[in-house]
Amino acid sequence: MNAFLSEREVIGFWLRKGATYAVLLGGVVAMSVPFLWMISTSLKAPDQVKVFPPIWIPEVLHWENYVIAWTSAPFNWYLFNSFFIATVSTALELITTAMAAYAFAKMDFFGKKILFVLLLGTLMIPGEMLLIPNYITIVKLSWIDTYYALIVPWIVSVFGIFLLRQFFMSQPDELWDAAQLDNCSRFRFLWQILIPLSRPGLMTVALFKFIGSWNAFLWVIIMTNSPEKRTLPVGLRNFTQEAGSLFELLTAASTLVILPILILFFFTQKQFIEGIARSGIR
Amino acid sequence: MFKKGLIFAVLLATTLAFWAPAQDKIQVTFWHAMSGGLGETVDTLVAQFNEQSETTEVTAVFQGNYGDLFQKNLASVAAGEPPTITQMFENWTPSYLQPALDENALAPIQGLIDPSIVADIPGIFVSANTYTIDGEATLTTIPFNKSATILYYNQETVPNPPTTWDELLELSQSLRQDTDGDGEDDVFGFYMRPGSSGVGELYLTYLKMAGGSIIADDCKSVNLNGAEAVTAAQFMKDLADVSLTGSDFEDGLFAAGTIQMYYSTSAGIVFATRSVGDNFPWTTFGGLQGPAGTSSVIQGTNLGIFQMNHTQEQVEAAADFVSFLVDVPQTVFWAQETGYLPVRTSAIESAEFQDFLANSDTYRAPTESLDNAFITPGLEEWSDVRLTIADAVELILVGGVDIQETLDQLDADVDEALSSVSDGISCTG
Repeated sequence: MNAFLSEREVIGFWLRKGATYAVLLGGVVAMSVPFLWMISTSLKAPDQVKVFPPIWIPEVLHWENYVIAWTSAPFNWYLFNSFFIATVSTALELITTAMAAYAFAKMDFFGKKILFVLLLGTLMIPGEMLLIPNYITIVKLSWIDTYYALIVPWIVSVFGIFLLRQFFMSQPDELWDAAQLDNCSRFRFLWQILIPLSRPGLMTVALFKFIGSWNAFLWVIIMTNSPEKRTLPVGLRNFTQEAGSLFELLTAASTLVILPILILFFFTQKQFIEGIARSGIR
Repeated sequence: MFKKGLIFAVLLATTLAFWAPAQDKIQVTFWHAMSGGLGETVDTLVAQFNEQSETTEVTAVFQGNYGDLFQKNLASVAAGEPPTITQMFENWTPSYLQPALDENALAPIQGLIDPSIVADIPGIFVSANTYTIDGEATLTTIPFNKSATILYYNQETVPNPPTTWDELLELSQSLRQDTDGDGEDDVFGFYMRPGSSGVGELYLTYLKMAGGSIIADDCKSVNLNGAEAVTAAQFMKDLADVSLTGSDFEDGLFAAGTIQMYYSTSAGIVFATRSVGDNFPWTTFGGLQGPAGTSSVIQGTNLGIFQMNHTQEQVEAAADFVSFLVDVPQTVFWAQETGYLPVRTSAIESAEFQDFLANSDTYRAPTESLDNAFITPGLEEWSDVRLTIADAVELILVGGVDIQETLDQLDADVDEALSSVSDGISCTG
């Protein structure tokens, strides 16, 4: 603190700082406790799961829960499918989303605003309402129980288009004017100039997509029949019934399922937060 | 030349005869919602059937929980490609029949399976699986995983189970303890889950114990606000006031010693067995008496066979598999492994099952409950009605509302929901 501040101002400064950290710490605890509970429960015996007050570190760590959980269903298949489907659909969505967002952000064409509003309007239709019509479409295409059914319908995202459009709009039009002087096509301008400048936005769209695809359950179970086409969230259903849950196995499997997403977020969090901040979404 | 040709033809015919693939088996798909150990038991039964059947190959497919399965069944019927066999609750079945559809998607079980099997199914299941098809009462589906609602209790702290409502209330109060001296009770006699969808069925059970009836004969109105209904709701409220309430499944709290008793489906026996382990002795009881006697709601699903998009051969092959599942050895095996009820009278009375009960006391109560049990109405509208009842009961238990007013509103809401029920429908409950 410098000498120009009075003692009261110094105390006020530290109080404000202390309050800020206390709130942040509260947030950290609130966010961490469910994760810690999940990991702790995954190492317990069945009769310790609901003991109150909770046992945070069991005397005997039941690591075998992870093995039992993983081998109680074809989780290796589920893991491969989750990675494959999430990766492919994320890559394809980035391509379609970037092109559509560019058109809405930087091009003028008849009915652009109405089309965009209509597009946004589709966000208000609950997915469950479209499930049966979509199922019928997939059946007519003979795509039931195929990767096509799990990937193709999800390679376009209205939310992604909206988010990237906001990002592209923040880039100055002068860039396009300059590019035109060098005979740059719109396609080349998009891929070689606009997209590299919008990397945080793309990372945000990609992360949203990857997490959404990774966690997808209802669509996968409705569109598939064989275990070889199903994903990790479907596997988690093996531990829950109407009459009870195998909590220690469910949490062991959940820990393994959530791990790749945590690692992904760890490496992309800076760009993810920047992307959210710059696109104006709160 | 002719000789060479003849030899070649004979060789070719012989080779083809040996190389010809075995005649393809008739393919039957069975969609179910049995996960974990229950799913493994289904797979075991399917494997047994496939091994012994020379003509039929059944593929069992897990389709998530009941809600997921219902969604997928509806979608598959709408797309015209349902499975051959699926699990269904009584109130799902009308969705696959006229007038909900232009044509009946289901092939009625009646006429497909041996009449001696039908004669051996307990009457409560036969009436609950009978629907009006072409103006005739027809056995349409067949019971599969049926459970009874029973009292689970810790025999260390509750040596003798409560037999009346008053005893249950007193015991629930007296077993409350503050073991750590912090001024808050941490051990409870009884546990309830007011927010669960099953709390509505529990209320209907108490309503029956109080002497009430649920639905009128024409299935167009209910009786959920009469004197018996108020008595049942008041009892539940009094019980909730002295009990632990929450949303967790019961078996974990039971195993931890936090609760000493709870009411739940017999399908939970396997979970309680697993959770409690050897920590303390426990068992189940099915004879709790209300003012008018005892009762138990039977839950769980039935099996239906879809004729839509299937050949007669497939339908008959599916019926063979269904007959296999409800055959005495299989239904006894199913009951022993899962806690569900055997669905044949001769299976319940069989020496094998009685021997099993003699050594597994916890499984006795569900079977004994069958005599005083009921099944909720098999109406399409009941899927929503049961949630409406559950919401009202939750309000009564933890919402601090006036019981009579809430039940009056509930009765009116349900009557309105049932006003669209077609004439000539009969229903259980």
